[in-house]
Amino acid sequence: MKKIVTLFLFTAAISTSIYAKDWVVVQKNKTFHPNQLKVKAGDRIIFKNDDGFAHNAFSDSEADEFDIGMQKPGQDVVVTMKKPGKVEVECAIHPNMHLTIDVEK
Amino acid sequence: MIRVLAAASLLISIVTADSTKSDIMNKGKEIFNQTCAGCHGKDGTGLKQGGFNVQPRDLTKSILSEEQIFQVAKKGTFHWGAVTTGMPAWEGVYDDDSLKAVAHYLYNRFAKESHKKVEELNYDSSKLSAKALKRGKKIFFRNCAYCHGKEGKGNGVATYNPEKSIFPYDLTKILLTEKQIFLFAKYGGKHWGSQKDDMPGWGVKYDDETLMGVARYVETHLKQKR
Repeated sequence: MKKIVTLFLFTAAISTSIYAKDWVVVQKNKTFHPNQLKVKAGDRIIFKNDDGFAHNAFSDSEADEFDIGMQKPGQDVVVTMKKPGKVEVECAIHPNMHLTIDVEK
Repeated sequence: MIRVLAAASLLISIVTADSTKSDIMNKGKEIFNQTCAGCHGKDGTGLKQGGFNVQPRDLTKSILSEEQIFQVAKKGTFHWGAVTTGMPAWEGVYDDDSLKAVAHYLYNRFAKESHKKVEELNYDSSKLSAKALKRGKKIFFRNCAYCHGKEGKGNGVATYNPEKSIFPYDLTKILLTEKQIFLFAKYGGKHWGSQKDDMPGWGVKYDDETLMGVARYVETHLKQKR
C-alpha cells in the first residue's frame, strides 16, 4: 500500500511538472510586461530584469506570498504559483510597477 | 519737535534696512552669477547639458529654507548626505556673510514660492498611532532600504547599477526636517528639483499616514543630530 501511495504521489508530481507552463514577465522601463496574466496553479513565472538597474518582485496576496529580494540587471528569477487566487505583484523599489496574476486551478 | 525727530529717525532706519537688504541681494546675485550660475543657470533651473553625473538641481523647485540653503552652500551636498561631490563646499572660498548673501538671493529669487507653499501645508506627526509608526518602519525596510540601506547610509543593495543611475542620499547626514522628508517620500526627488527620477514618489502607493510614519522613523532613528 505504501508503495502504491508513493508511486501515486511521484506520478502526480511528474504530471504536474509536465503540464506546468512557464510565463515570462519582463521588467523594462520600470514596468512589468505584461502587467496581467492568467495562469494555472503550478505554472512558473520567470521574472526577467531587462533594465540597467535593480528590481524586485513581491506579493503579500493571500493566494501566494513571496519576495524575490534584489534582482540584478539581466537576472532571471523563477517563482512558482502554488495556489489558485489573485496574486498582486509589486516592485519594492519602483512604486508604479504592478502586475496582477489570476491563478486558476 | 520730538515727534518729528522720531519720525525722521524711523524713516532713516527703514531706508537703511531696505538698502542693506538690497545690498545683500546685490552681493548675493553677483556671487551667484559668477559662481553658481555656471551649473545651475542664471534662471536657477539647472543646465540641461554638461558633463555632470548628477545634473545640477532646479533651484526654482527647492523647498529648503534660507538657512538650509546657506548650510548647503557652505558645506556642500556631500556633507549633507549626497553620495557625489558635484555641489562642492564653498566655505573655503567665501566667508559666511557672502554665502548668506547668496542664500538670501537664491531663496528670494528662486525658492521662496516653493518653500512658502510647503510651509503652508499642515504637518503634524505627533499624533501618529503606534500602528502607523510600526508600519512606517516596516515600509522603510521593505522599500527605502533597497537604495538607502538598512541603516540609511545610502548603500542599499539596489545601488548596484551598471547605468550608474541611482544616487541615494545618506539619510544619517541629511539636513531636511521631518516634514521635508515626508514631502520627498510622497512626491519624489524630481518634484522638488532633482533632475533625476531615481527617488520616486511613494504617494502613488502609500497614504499620508504611512509616509509620515516613514518620515518619523528616518527623523528619529536614522538622522544624526548635528
